[in-house]
Amino acid sequence: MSSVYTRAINILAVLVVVVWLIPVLWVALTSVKPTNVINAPTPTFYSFEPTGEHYVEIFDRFLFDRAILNSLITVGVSTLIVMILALPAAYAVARMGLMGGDTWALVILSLRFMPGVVVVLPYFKMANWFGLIDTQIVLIVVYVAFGLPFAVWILRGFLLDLPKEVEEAARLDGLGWLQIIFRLILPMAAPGIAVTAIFTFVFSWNEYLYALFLTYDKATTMPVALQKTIDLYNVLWGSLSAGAVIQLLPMIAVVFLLQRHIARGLALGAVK
Amino acid sequence: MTALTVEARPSRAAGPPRQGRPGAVARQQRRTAYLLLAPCVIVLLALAIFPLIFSGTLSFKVDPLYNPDVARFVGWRNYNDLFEDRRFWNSIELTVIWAVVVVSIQMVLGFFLAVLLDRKMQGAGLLRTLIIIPVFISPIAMGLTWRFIFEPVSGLANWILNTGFGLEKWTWLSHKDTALMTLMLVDCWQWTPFIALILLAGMQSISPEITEAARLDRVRGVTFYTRIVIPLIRPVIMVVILIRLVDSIRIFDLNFIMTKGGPGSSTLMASVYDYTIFEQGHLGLMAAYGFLILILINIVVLAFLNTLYRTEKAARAADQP
Amino acid sequence: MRNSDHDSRAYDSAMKRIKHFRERELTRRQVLKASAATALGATLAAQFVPSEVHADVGGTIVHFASSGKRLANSLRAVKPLFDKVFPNVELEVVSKPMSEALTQINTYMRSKSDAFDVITQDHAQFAALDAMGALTDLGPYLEPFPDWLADYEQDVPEAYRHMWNLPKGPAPPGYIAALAPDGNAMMTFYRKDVFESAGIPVPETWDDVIDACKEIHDPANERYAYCAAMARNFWAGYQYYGSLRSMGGDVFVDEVAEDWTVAINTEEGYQALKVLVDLQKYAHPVSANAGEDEVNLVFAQGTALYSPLTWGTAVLNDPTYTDLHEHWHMDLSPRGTGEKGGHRALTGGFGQFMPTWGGNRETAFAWIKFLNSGDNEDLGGSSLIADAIVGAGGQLSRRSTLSRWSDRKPFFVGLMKAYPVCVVNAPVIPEAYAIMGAMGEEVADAVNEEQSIEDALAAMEKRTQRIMEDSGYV
Repeated sequence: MSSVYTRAINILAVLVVVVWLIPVLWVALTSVKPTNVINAPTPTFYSFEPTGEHYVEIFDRFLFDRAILNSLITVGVSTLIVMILALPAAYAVARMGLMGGDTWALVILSLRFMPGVVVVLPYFKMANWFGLIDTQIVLIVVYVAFGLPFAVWILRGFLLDLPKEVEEAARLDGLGWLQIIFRLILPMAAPGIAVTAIFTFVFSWNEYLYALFLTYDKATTMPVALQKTIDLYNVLWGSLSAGAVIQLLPMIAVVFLLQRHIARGLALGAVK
Repeated sequence: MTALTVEARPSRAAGPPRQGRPGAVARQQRRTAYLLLAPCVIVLLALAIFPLIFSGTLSFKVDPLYNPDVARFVGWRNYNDLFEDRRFWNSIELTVIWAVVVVSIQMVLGFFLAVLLDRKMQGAGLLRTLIIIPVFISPIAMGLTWRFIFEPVSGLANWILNTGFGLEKWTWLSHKDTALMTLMLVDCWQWTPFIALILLAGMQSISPEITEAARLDRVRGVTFYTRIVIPLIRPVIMVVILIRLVDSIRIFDLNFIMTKGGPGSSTLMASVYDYTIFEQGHLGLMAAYGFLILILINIVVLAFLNTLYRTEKAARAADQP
Repeated sequence: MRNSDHDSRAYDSAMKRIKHFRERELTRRQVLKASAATALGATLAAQFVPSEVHADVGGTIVHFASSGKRLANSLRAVKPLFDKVFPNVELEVVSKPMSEALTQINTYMRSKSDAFDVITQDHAQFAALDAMGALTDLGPYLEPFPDWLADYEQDVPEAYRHMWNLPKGPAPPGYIAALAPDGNAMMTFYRKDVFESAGIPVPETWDDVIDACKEIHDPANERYAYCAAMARNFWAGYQYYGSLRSMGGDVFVDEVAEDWTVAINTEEGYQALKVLVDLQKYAHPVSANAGEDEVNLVFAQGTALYSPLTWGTAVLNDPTYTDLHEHWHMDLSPRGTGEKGGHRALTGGFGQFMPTWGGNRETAFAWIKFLNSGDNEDLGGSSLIADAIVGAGGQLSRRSTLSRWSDRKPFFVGLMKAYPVCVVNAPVIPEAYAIMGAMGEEVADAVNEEQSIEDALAAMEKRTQRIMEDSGYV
């Protein structure tokens, strides 16, 4: 391939990413506009005095600091639990000649099919019985339940891709199943695991309906706090955008850390 | 070419050796498999049984949220009501169209995007991080922002089209003919990069030996992707399609925030309609609808899995001499 | 319906009193500029010298309210004032997103949640709350304060106070389900500058509305005459109910006499829907699927100029929200010209009640009473309470405080005009919201030409009948 061709593709890649992000940039821009500029009849790009008031407001009026903390705890913990439970399960489904293994996998997946609004009422009742309403625990449990099925499925897809010889060798060396999974499979399937973790994280991070029903205010997460900027009669665009930008930052950090694993690829040589 | 595919195959999962093993070993392995699976299944069953029973019972009742005194069992009436409701059929039709269209577009675009980003250039990591930002922004914030951008008179989209390209302003979300299409556009914008990321991870897990062999064999360009990459990452592709299909059928956030199912009923898809029924307080009807969606998704998934397993089996059979 | 001469007289005298409050202008400007609700509350609290301090009252109370300027934020703004009078009370304001809060409250009350001591809920939901057994009679709590109650009753319009008349048998005398510091009504919103330069008066009848729209409609310059919230479900439902009442129609033949025969598919019902469909010709493009927030946005931008019938709220007079805040004026919504037609303003708003399963009753009541106090310091009130609410973006039900602010907020002028012709914004039965939603779905489909007016009316009637049958009315 000629270097001109490669460079052209590189430039194209950058261009696509930039165009793709225009709406996100628009959110960021909106977050520093005064409200009456936001509500002006034509879009404004630079001719306004930037303001930080929305960032103050989102913390001051909408208690965003508490929501951030809650989000990080519930989503972080639930993602961790999901990954720990899902990896062995996916391995069992993908690799271990489970009789009817396919059916198990189906059962695991089908629990996520119900529309949220139908499931949320019984969950509310259950949480009420156990006195768990408005706690981080109840959200962690729900996010684990809803993250697990898809995590198992994505991981299964990636595990099927892995070469089998290494494990065979390890088993002959006398390694146990869990050792194989966490010491061999984990590094080999790193890209898949990273993607699955991101997927699980994203799902819970943006989850709204369960957070809305199962918390009052103390354990509320960011999507709910964000929704509070929407009045019935007007949307506080500035606060909403500021909240969206703040909500984005931890995600970018998480992805930036995890994408190294996605990019690293399979270091087969190192394992062998 | 033939030599290469043969070389590529053994490194894929060859499937469990089902035959020719001593029974004791197989049993032992199966038991371990169940043990590994158990925690996952127990957690899920524990959390699923009560909601299913609760909603199942509810779906045979008239139970207004606003008036608990009149709650009573009514047999199949709720299901009957739904079958006679034109909006119900309309919502199922829209949902199916939606799922098929957005998943197709997202898979194709996502694959191209993955190929585009699957390169060793400086800052590729940064690009990969930036491109998936769309799925990270809360659907609430993003849905509202898109609504703002598509505002017919003052929105950014029309401003760009009008000022930049001299095109007529378009009503986007507020006209029944274009609203669904606009929603699809936003959904693709949000999910395509994420599909690209998963496919990219699949591509990155292809063993370097294979890519090297392909390079030596001068397999490149389109052939490289159709003959080598796609067959190798097929399990990942399949699972992504499956997951996106399920989530697309359950589409709620974007739909609810951007159009609430309107104008009229032109974007009224299943989950939003079900939520509307809940808002109006008809709990029994809501649960019945939920079960119908559950059945619909199960049909789709079963059909899909059937194909998936059949092709996987065929691939395994071909792998094993 | 529940009009009274008393309301008109009160309005006139209030307008005369406005001049008297001019000297407070500086302070009020400051109030309007203060942005953060808690900061505003603290500023006002610094000026606040309570006439008496109740150190003997203690405990923690949790107040649940919808989020946003009008409700939770105005509560938070009043809190610092309350803290000064009740230093030993721990008050926590819990809020939920406005769009889901109404349904949330019903869900919580259905499961007899004891998490809240005070709840702010929309008027139209009170019959449902009653059916769930969630309401506490405030009458006994108010008994020791006859002067306070008398002041409240003469200041808050009758339609608001009677909002709590409940259907399941007449309420016992003195029964009070809730107090309501917050008020709203469906009104005409119009750009005064545009109407003046076009030389046309504010439309009086629905025919005038169409004429006015023809006059000011200017799509070539992106100035659309009309905009209304025609999103399916409740928005379009209220739009239609407002229009229906102005024509003299109603959902039922006679609600007061408990004749629950559905009367939507009638001449009045037809006229009410036809005018909404006709008006779409002059509508801003968002109108076809707008919620009130989208309507207000195009009003704020100046791309839509007029709505004969909308909830709107005080936000259009908020200088931080729109540069056109001085041009937006409010007036009575149009009347139908038929025999039964008349000006009727749907009254909205939020009331505060103590849920059956809440605790700390005395303290919770003290907080509700404080919130609902007027300006009269002898009765434990203070003008600063209203200032805090208005400054935070709230709107009021008390005439005295409305009039004090009305020169800065044309919306309050409109509200005071609307009070004498107020009608309840939905039938006072638990099924109200279900009926509103059903009507709204059919109306939205008709407005978007997915079905004919006749079909929409027939469908509305059928669905309403079904709802009433299910609840055992027929």
